Amino acid sequence: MSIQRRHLLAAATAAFLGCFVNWAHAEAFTPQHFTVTVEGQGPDVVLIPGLGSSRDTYAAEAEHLRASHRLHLVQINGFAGQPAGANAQGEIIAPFLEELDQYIKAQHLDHPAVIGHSMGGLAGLMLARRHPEDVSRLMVIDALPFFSVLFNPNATVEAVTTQAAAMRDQVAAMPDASFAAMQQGGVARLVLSPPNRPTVAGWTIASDRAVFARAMYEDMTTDMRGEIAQIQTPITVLYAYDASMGPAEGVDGLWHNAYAAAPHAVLTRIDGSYHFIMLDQPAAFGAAVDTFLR
Amino acid sequence: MKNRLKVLRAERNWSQADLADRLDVSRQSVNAIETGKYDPSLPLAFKIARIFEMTIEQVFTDEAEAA
Repeated sequence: MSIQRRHLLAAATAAFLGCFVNWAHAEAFTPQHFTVTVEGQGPDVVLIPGLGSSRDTYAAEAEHLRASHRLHLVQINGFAGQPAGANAQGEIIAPFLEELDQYIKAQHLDHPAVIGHSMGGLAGLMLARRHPEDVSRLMVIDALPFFSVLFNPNATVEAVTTQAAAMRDQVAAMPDASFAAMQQGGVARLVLSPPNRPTVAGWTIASDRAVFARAMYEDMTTDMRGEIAQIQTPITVLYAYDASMGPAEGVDGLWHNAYAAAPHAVLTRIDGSYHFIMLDQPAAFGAAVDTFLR
Repeated sequence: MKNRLKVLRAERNWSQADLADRLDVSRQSVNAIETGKYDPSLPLAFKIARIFEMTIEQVFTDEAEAA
């Protein structure tokens, strides 16, 4: 083959691939950092699960909501059985947010409501801050602007980084059986209703460990306290309370303090619940979501 | 849920990572299914059965039924 012909062929191939890439981009945006299932018809709602969790976090609520809304149930790659994919390297939350922004724009979602649980709630706050045009309203389920204040009210990113890095490395290196035992024990503090505990523990046990560990680190070291004052999006915060946490006033104070700077935040306490409010109090959770979407 | 995944995998000389690649799941999922800590979704159970050229019942046992 002459050099000239080879060049022509290369140019033609490049042009063809270029067309294909452009066409593919225009027709369907395929995210590399998460998967999404779309259900129902109506106004758009994006639902983001928490650390190591499946989109099935919202399965019961989705059953009800998809009669009146179009749901975009996302799941971060590497969590709850999904392979790590593009999350095998690098950061987890930031690339997820940028791709979610691209997804919302590419699929022409019409000012979706965004619902996020735990780390997904933190991601929701970050999305509303970085891409306010993507979020008409935000529901944050049991997530603080800075997770680490749960352990120490005076925590700063600087102060927790060393410990968070040590925990990340320890969790990443843990043998499967030890990690499973830790999750099966720890889930009792996250889910009040015993029948739901094996499911939630199973999600984290089946998660790609390296992705889980790095996402946990980011969850612990991301501080949105200084930024929530700039979030103009209306925010509904649901927080869990159970008598075993101590006096309700203390818990109320923690949450109201945490969101005091947010200009449009409404807080609702859900009683008789641990962290997985949608599993522990599905009726109260459903009622709160209905109010939020009204 | 009890299953024969570990035996079937060993018969083919596949590592957990090999099977995970074939199933397009995390390596940890295979371990969690084998040790009964994670129940696969129905589509994943079908996929597992297909890979071993078996029916779901030949791979998985419902413990309630077996008891």
